[in-house]
Amino acid sequence: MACLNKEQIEFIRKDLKQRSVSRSFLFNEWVDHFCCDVETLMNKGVSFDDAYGHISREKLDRDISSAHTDVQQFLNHKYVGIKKLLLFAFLLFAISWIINLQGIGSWIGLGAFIILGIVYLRVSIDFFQKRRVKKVNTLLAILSLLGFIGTLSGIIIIFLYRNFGFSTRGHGVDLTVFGWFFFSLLCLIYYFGEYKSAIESREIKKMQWLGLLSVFNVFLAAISIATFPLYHMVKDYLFFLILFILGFDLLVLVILLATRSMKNTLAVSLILGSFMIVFIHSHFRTKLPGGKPKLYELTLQVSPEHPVGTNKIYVSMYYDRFPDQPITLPLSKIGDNLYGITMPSYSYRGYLYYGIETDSSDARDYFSRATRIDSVRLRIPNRKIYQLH
Amino acid sequence: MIPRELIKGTLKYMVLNLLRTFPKMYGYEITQVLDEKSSGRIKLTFAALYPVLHKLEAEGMVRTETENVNNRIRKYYSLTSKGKKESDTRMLEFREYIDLMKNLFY
Repeated sequence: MACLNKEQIEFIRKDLKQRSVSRSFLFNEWVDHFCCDVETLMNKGVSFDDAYGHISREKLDRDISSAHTDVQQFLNHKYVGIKKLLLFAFLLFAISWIINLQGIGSWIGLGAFIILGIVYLRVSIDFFQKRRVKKVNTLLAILSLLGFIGTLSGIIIIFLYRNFGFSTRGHGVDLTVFGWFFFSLLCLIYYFGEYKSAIESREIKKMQWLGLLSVFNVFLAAISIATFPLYHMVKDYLFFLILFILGFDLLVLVILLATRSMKNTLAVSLILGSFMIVFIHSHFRTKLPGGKPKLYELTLQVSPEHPVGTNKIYVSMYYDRFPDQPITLPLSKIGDNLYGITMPSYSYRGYLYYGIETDSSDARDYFSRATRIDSVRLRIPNRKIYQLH
Repeated sequence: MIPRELIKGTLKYMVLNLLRTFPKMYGYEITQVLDEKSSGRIKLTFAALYPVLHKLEAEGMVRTETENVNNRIRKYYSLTSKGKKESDTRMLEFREYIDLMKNLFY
């Protein structure tokens, strides 16, 4: 029974590498298959050189290329459902932003993010099921799971904060951005692996491009995370960072559409997820995911017997849930003895404590010296008539 | 020779049936056994066999293990417990299909 020696096997490996099939994940099986064929011929008395020459002519590179493509195609095919789910999430996201149905829109927005989370979870399960195919799949499953946990828990916290006034200390933002970071890392590892195993030059270029896209997303997510501890230093520049990320995501989305690369589910998940997560932390969000914050038109009527000679008066207030966070708002003159302001409220329940002064610093100190503090049960009435003495 | 389309449509069942008989097999071995059993009428190419094996693996029907054999890496395929159960059902269905074909054509 003929058995190839180390040198002969190495010769075959090198030759196959030169035929650019070394990048395929089927390479080792291809080498073994090739060696077995050569050994079979050698058992019939053919020399190694002749046997190898014969098999080389018989077995074409397109065999392995075709097998490689077929395996990848059926692996990609199962992602069609995930992709549809993802596009549905994005559609909901867009609808909830556009229609602004005061309250209803907020639930649609939350739904969009829950679906995005489900997509991340589905990807995680899929990698976990394929953990025996490649060891790295376990790591990818964990990263995707972290993406799911970050996105879902973050968005629920943000939703509770914006709609019900839950004190969250901004952790919702942190979690969603961490979710984005982990998913970017997943894409980076995955596309790097695909790049290493791609055979055709077109495929190599595509994986290279998607890999670079993932690297840049990891970079952007890392920068965003770095802004948390440095918030006070960088807060004036956050708008530009957010604007850049959103612009970049939209540009990539257009490129993916134009180059017909939307079948790369992970890349599409990364870009749409990144866009959705960054968007709700931008100034454009207004309506997402908690819907547009309720705006109250606070109008104060000063008693005509005691007119105020200024164009502005100041209301200092705090919610009973946040006694350590009083705010002072200026009310502009809008008519005879009438002062008003439109103010947002994220809180639907509880009491609002308030005091009014004609001077802003007096208003700020109001609570430290007032003997009696006025309060109203939320919601704040649209017109509050106040006797300012 | 058997037409390629027919082989392609039934290859999955051939592989499953072989793996029910042999505890573990590698790709080349499968091509040789099929070649032998079919008296040389079924010659599988690399491009035809490996997508089927990887699909069965992704479906959880087969598991793989690699061994260093004669200075090269060899990947063995064997049925998982799920694969054993499902292959019983699938083989039964396939036999019914063959009987149906017989009735239709003869």
